[in-house]
Amino acid sequence: MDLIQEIANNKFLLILLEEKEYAKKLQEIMKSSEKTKTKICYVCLSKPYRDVMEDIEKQGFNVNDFFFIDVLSSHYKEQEPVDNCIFVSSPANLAAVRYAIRKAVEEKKCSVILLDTISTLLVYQETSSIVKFTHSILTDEKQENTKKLFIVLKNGAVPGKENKNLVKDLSMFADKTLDFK
Amino acid sequence: MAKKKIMTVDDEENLIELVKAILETEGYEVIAASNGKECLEKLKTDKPDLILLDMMMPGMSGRETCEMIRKNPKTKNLKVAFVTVARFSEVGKDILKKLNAVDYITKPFDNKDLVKRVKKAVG
Repeated sequence: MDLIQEIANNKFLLILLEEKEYAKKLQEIMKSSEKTKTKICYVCLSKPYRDVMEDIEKQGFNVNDFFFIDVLSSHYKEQEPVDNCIFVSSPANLAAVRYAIRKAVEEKKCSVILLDTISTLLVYQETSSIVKFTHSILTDEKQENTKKLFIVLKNGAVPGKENKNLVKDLSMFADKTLDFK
Repeated sequence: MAKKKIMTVDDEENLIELVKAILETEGYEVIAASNGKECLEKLKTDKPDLILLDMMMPGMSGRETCEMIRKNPKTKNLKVAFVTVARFSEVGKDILKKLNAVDYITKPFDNKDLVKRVKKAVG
């Protein structure tokens, strides 16, 4: 599977990963996204952005190519504003996440949105809210020209039927679903 | 002649009322369900000529509800038309085809167009 080609050819990719392959594949996805030579909006739904940034630096990526949205850190402790990240109060606040993504696209000129991992939201929201959230990002005219890469962990925090239903419902909007087995 | 029966399934009460008003004026009998579970429950005793099914509902989605309808031998041949604000990808449209939907109506819809499409679907 040529990821660079897939990212180039599709606007919305749903990427299904196994937990054991997650780190390796995520690195490949970021490498491929980096080749688009644009800023990546990294929406950290599973880890605080500082941890993600540390991982990214260790893997040799230029951290300046990324802008972050962190939904976890503020949930536990109020955060001082920083230049390369927007803190959202809670992962359950999807309206705020959506607004932060729009800001990243408009003000920081991000043209790739990497959502890592959308399946984590099942801990906080029911499937239909996540589907509506995704649809609202996809139909936002301001984000029309961005690439959207949404990662689903196949055996994520809420495995089983709900995860499968989320994948099925999101697949209906995706240009392609990449299932890494 | 018996009136044709339409079931509208939507979590938006206003939309249910609107569909009812439009289709009842045209001589249809309209029954309603506010979610997928209620739709499946009502199908145990009702046999509508057409189901107008919203796609993005809390609980069971329209896709999942339709899959359940197709799985049940008693309901598998019922006509289903999706009514939705969603813009599906080509892949999504293929999934809808596999669910044997007779139509795909986007919200907001034009009242006359809705009537035309319902007439076409129920024959």
